[in-house]
Amino acid sequence: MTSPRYRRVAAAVFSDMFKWSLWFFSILFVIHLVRVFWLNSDTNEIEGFFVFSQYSVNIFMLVVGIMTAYAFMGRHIQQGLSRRDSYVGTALAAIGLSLFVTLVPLVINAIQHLLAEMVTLPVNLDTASAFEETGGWIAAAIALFLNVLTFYLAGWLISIGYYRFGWIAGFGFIALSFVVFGLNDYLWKPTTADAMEWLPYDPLEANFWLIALGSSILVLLLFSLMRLLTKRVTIKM
Amino acid sequence: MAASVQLNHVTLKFKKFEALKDVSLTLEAGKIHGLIGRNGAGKTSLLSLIAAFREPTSGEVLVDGAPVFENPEKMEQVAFVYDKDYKEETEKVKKLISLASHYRPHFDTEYAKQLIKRFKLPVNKPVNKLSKGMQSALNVVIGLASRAPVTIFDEAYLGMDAPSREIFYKEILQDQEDHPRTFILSTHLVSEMDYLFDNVVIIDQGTVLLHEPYETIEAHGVSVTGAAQEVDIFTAGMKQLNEQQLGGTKSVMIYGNLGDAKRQEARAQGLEIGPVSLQDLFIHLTEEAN
Repeated sequence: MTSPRYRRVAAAVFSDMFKWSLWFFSILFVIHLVRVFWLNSDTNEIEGFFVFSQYSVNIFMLVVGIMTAYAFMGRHIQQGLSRRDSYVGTALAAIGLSLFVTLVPLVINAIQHLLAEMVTLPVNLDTASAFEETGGWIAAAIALFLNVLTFYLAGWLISIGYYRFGWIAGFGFIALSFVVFGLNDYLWKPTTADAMEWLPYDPLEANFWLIALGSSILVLLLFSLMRLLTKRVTIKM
Repeated sequence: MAASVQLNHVTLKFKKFEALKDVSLTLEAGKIHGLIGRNGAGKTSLLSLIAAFREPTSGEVLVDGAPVFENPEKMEQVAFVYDKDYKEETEKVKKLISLASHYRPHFDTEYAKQLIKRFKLPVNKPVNKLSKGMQSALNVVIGLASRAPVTIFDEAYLGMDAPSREIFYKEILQDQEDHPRTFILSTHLVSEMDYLFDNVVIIDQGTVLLHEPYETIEAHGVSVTGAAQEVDIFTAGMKQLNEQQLGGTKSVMIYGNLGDAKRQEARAQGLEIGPVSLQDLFIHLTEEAN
């Protein structure tokens, strides 16, 4: 019992989230296989697992975020942990989970890539072009990591909004999460971010590292907001 | 290991409603404190402040002399067991117990196993599939085995059958002997649990009506038992809390102390003088306050 309290929180929360993510990836992978081997007639090139899973991984992280306040926070305080330790531990677990859900698609994609080179698959798998566009797999990984973390934080924000302020104000937090998604799209997918049209610059022209920096600032802002919202929260009984 | 609890001028407001009104109270370390009050008296509000589930509107709540809210060392010393809603809890019993052992520095796994056996808790069942009584037993196992210096049981027995409640009470007494700590037991079942208490706190409408060692409670009243007619004559003009009659024998609870002279007079008339029950005192005090 010598490890700091927040680390005990991080370990337990990560272990739960990790199990959920294993379920999620198992199901997603089965769907991917169905797509590759059965639902492949409309196109002669099928996207690799990295591209295939991106959208779903974001949604998974949003859902995990939404579960956070209800599944973990009250339990921590009842087990005699401070809100601060609960927050720091949960935040660390979320960062760990974001790393994990970034790595899994990368690794599966790499295996697919190697397989495609070694044996002849019945379909053409495109496991590389996504990385060409974004400037290499490291950049793609950083982009996915920042995206999933942002989605997690948006979910966490919604859940603390409902937990703390009830369901009417909770809708306000959903609205706030749309602002977060808008900003995130504005940074990463400028062509689809219609809601942010009024903002002045065109990120397509911007440097990748500048986008990553902007995205990191958004993540830090959200982490700070979560600390403010959980700092003195009343625990439901 | 035991810790003291102190409330200094604590007020708790929910919008306009005052759940606690300027409560000051010290709960000595190493004792079993009974907290009794009617529904809505403020028991759970008071306990949730000690467990740092919320902050008081004004005043301070201390554990071993330091404010408890967001104080990691002090919060760790408090275990708050209450009638938790487990409808959505799909985890298994053993998972919740292992979580408690993960977080609670004094958790005794062996003791938890013994208790699981005594309560016949099915450890592989999801918690929301347990009966109400079994869910309560799970709470009790976690609360007892955590061995937190301040252990609070807020109506922890709800849904438990009489034999299980008996096990619960016996375990409190036994464990208190082996590993003394500060227990706070809030209850409606006064007559069933009063023998557990070292100290009694009665609260009503957010204020403390009485806070005393259990032994001195009897100074607040007596029971007079004997032939119905003689009891009636003897107790005429006294404040009666309760009366029971069986055939020609009657027993009347009197509020207030009898002087030595009155006691001798009773004895001379063949009347029996006994202690007043906490239950009767509780009913009387809260009725009077209302």
